[in-house]
Amino acid sequence: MTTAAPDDAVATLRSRGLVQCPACQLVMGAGAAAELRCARCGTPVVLRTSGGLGTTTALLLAALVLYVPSNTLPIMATRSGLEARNDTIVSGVIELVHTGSWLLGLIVFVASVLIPLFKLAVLSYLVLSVRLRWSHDARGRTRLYRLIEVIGRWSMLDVFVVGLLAALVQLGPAAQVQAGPGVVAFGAVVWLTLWATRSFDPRLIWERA
Amino acid sequence: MADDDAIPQAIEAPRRSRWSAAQAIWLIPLLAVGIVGWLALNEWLSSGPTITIRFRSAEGIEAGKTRVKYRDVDLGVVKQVRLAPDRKGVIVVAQMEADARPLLVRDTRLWIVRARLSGGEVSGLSTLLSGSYIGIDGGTDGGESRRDFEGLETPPVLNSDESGREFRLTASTLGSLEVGSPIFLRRVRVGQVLGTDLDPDGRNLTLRIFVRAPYDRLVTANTRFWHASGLDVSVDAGGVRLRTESLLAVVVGGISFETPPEAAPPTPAASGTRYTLFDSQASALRRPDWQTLEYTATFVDSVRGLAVGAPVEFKGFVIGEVAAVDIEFDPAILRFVFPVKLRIYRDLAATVAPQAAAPAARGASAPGNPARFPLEQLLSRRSVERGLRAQLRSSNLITGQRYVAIDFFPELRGEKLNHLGSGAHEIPTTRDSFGELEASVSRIVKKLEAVPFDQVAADLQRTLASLDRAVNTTEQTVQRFGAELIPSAKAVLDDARRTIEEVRALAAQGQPLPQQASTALRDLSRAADALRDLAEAIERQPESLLRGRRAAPAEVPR
Amino acid sequence: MKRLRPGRAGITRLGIGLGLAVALAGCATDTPPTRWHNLVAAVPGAPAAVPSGARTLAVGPVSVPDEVDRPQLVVRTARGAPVRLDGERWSEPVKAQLPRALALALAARLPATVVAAHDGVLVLPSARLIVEVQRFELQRDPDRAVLRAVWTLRPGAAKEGGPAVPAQVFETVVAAAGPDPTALVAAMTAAVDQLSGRISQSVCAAGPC
Repeated sequence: MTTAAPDDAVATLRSRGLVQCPACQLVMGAGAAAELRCARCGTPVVLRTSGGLGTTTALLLAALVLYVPSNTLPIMATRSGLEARNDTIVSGVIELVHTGSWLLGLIVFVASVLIPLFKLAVLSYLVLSVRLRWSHDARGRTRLYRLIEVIGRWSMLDVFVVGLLAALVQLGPAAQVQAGPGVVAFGAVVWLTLWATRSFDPRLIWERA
Repeated sequence: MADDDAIPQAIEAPRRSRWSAAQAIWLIPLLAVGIVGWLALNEWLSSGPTITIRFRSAEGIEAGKTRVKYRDVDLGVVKQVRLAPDRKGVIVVAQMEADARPLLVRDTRLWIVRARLSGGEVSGLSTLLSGSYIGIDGGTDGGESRRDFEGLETPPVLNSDESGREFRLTASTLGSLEVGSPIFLRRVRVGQVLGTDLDPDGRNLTLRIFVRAPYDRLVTANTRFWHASGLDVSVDAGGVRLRTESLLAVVVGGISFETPPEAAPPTPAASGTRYTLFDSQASALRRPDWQTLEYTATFVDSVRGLAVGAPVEFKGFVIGEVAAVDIEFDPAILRFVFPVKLRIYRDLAATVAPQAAAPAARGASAPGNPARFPLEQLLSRRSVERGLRAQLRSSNLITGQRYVAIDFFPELRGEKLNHLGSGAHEIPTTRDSFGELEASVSRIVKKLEAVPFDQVAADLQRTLASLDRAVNTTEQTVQRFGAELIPSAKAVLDDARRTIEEVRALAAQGQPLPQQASTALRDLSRAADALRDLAEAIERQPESLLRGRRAAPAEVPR
Repeated sequence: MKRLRPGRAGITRLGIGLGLAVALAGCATDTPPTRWHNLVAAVPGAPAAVPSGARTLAVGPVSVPDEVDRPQLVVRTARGAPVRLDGERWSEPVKAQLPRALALALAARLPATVVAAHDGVLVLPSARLIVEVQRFELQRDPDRAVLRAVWTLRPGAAKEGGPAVPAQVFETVVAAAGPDPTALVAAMTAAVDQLSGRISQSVCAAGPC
C-alpha cells in the first residue's frame, strides 16, 4: 500500500475514469451517467453514495432533533409493590449508581449517553468539514469515521435492555416494567445515526480536500 | 497495470428520478421535527396551573413523586417541598394538570391522605404501600380560581358533594363522641358528627352533625337526639335494662335520634336547627315540660327506693313520673316529711264508653267525638274526698325500687284531712305497705300479750297427765293382741317369700326369651370363633387366599 | 403420529386379563383333603337305656383351654411345641363337643338321671356339674392324650335339692394306639370317658343315681 502521497498525485479509480463493482470487484470504465450497473454481475454501481451529503445531513438533523426527547422523555417505567418510578436515561444511570450497581450505571452511561453523543458530534463534524471543504487531517477524519462505524451499533444495547426488561418483568402488582416513549425516541436516534453513518461517503473527505 | 482495452465498460442503468431518493430523505428530519414539536405542544397544553399548599408537616410528601389525586384520579404531582418562611409549616408546590383548573377555587380543600383511624373507620390503608398522596376535594364556589391553599391536617369528614343537612346539638358532655362519630336512626347509620366546639361560657358543647339524604327529611322540629354511646344499663321500676346501639357505637360512641310519633308536624327541619342532646333514650323520649302538670305528695314514711323518674301509676296505668324527692321539717307534727313532686302528663285522657244520655261527662268534647275524661281531673278535691290517696308501693323486691301509686282507698273515704297544704295540687298520702305491715304486726303483738299463758300451762299439765294414763292402757291392750297377731303375720310372710322364689325360678330357666338369648349368644360366639380362625389362617398362610391350603404332611410330626 | 394412551377399553381388557391369571393361579393347586374328627364316637349297637328317674343333672358351664378350642387338631411334639394339623379338623368346636360328650357318657353311667348339656331342657335341675378343663392335649413320643380337669357338683334349683360334691381334681393320661390322628382322638375320647366315670362315682355316692 502506498504511503501518503501528495493529494493531486493520488491515483484513484475515479481519477482514471474507472469504477469498481462492490460485489464482484470488477473494474470497469465509468460512463457519464450517475447510475451504472456492473457488466458482470449486474449489481448497481454508484459513483456517490445515493443522495450524497444531503442524505447524511438530513438524517443527522433528524437524529439531533430526536435526541432531545430521547433524554427528556422517560425510557422505562418501573412499578414494584412499593413505588412507581419513571426513569429517563440519565435518571436511570443515577439510580443505578445510587443503588450500588455502579458498573451497570457506567455501562449504560457509556452506551446510551457517551456513544450517541460522540457519534452525533463526530458526524456533525464530518459533515461540516466536508461541506466547508476543510482540508486538514483527512486521515484523522477517516479514522474517526471508521470508529463511529464500528461502535455505532453498541448504542442499541440500552434499547435491547429496556425491551428485554419490559417483556420479562411482568409480575403483576409485585413488579412491572414498561418501556416509555423515550426508548422509541432513543431507538430512533440510534437508527438514524447508523443510517447517517452508512450514508456518509468517506470518499468525500478526500475529494473535497 | 492491466491494459485499458481489457477493462469492460459498466452498463448504464436507466436514470431514476432523483426526487425519490435525495429529496425524500428530507422527510425524515421534517418528521422528527414534527414529532418533537407535537410532543412539546402537547406537554405545554396539558400542563395546568402550579399551586402551593401550606401544611404543618410534609410527612409522606416527596418532591417529584407524591401525586395529587381527586377521586383517585391523578391530577398533579408535587414538584417541590420547602420550608415556610415563618418556619412553622411547609410549602408544597404542585404542578397540576389542565383539567384540574376548574377544581381550584376558593373553598377547595386539600389534605394529605395517610393511613388513619378516625370515627370508627380506617382509611387510607393503601397509602401504606404506595405512599401518601394529597387528596383534593373540589370546591363548589364558582368564584375566582385560587393558587395558594391552606392544607387541612385531617381529611374532611364529608365530601362536598354529599347531600344532606347539618344540624346543631347542645350537649352537656361529649361522652365518647368525636369527629366522625356515627349518627344512628333505628340502628342504621345515617350521618356523622362534623365537629365539636365548647361554648364560650364553658357550660355546654355545640356539636355540628350531618345527616345524609334521604334521612335528613326525617328530622323534624320534634326530633329527639340522645347519646347512644356504649351500653345503657339502667335499673328502674321495670327492672334491669341493657341497651346498646351497635358495636360501633360502643367503641367510638354515637348519637341516635328518633321522632316521637305523637309529634304532629312532619315537615323536615331546616338546616342548622338546634336540638338538645339527651343522655339516654329514656330521657330523650320523655315528654317535655309544657305537657305536664306538677303535683305534690308528701310522704311520712321512708322514701327509700323512690328514684327521680319512677313512674306514677293509677291502678297500674302510668300517668306521670316523679320529678323530685325533697325533705322538709314539719314543725306542726315535729317530724321530717318528704314532699315528692310528681309530674302528671297532661294529655292523657280516658275515653268514656258510649252510653245513652251521659251528659255528666266532664270535659266532653264536641258532639261527634268520643267523650274524653282527662286524667288530670282525676286528681281533684272531690276524688280526695272519695278516698284518693298516693301511696308508695314496691315495684321490684330485688332492687327495692318503689313507685308512686295513686288509688282510691274506700276505707279512707270522708277522712278528715287537716294538714293538707294550701297548694291546689296536693295529693294526700297514706301509709305504704311496709307501714301497714308494721301496724298489723303491732296489733298481733298486742293480742298475744292479752293471752293468759299461765292458765294455759296449768291446763296443759292436767291434760298431759290424763293422756299418759290413756297411753298405758293402750299399751297393755296392744301386747295382748300381739301374741295372736304375730304368728299369722309370719305365715303370710313365708308364703309371700316362697311365691316370689318360685316366680323367680320360673323366670330364670326354660323361658323362651332367655333361651333364645343364650342361643343367639352361642351363635355369635361361634361366628366370632370362625372369624378368628379365618384371620389366623390368612395370617399364617396369606397365599392360601390364592393358592389354597398347602398339603399337610402325611405323618404327624414328632 | 398416534400417541399410545390406554383408553377405557384398554384398561378393562387389562383388568380381565389379570383376573383370569389370578383365578388360574388359584385353580392350579389342589386343595388337600380334610379329615374330620369328633370326641363323641359313633355309637355301636343299640342305644342306651332311657332313664326313668326324676333326678336331673345339668352339665355346664364347661370351660376348655383356647389352645385346644381350634378347628384343627393340636398336637404337642416331643419338644413340647404345639403343632396344628391343618388336614385334621374337629367337626364341631371342642367347646361344644366336651359338654355333649360328658353328658352322653354320664347318661350311660347314671340310669336314673336325665343328663343334659344345654340349659333349656332342664328347667330346675337337681344338680349342676361345673367343669374347668385345665389341660386337654395330645402328645407325641410317646403318643398319648392328657386330661386334667377341676369339677364340682352343686345342688340345682330343684325343690328336693340334689347331690353336692365339692371341687375335685381329676387327671389322667391315656396312651394312644398309634401316631395317626384317629388313634389320638380315640385316646382323648377315652380320657373324657374316665372323667365321666369318676364323676358318676361321686354322684352315686352322694345320692340315688
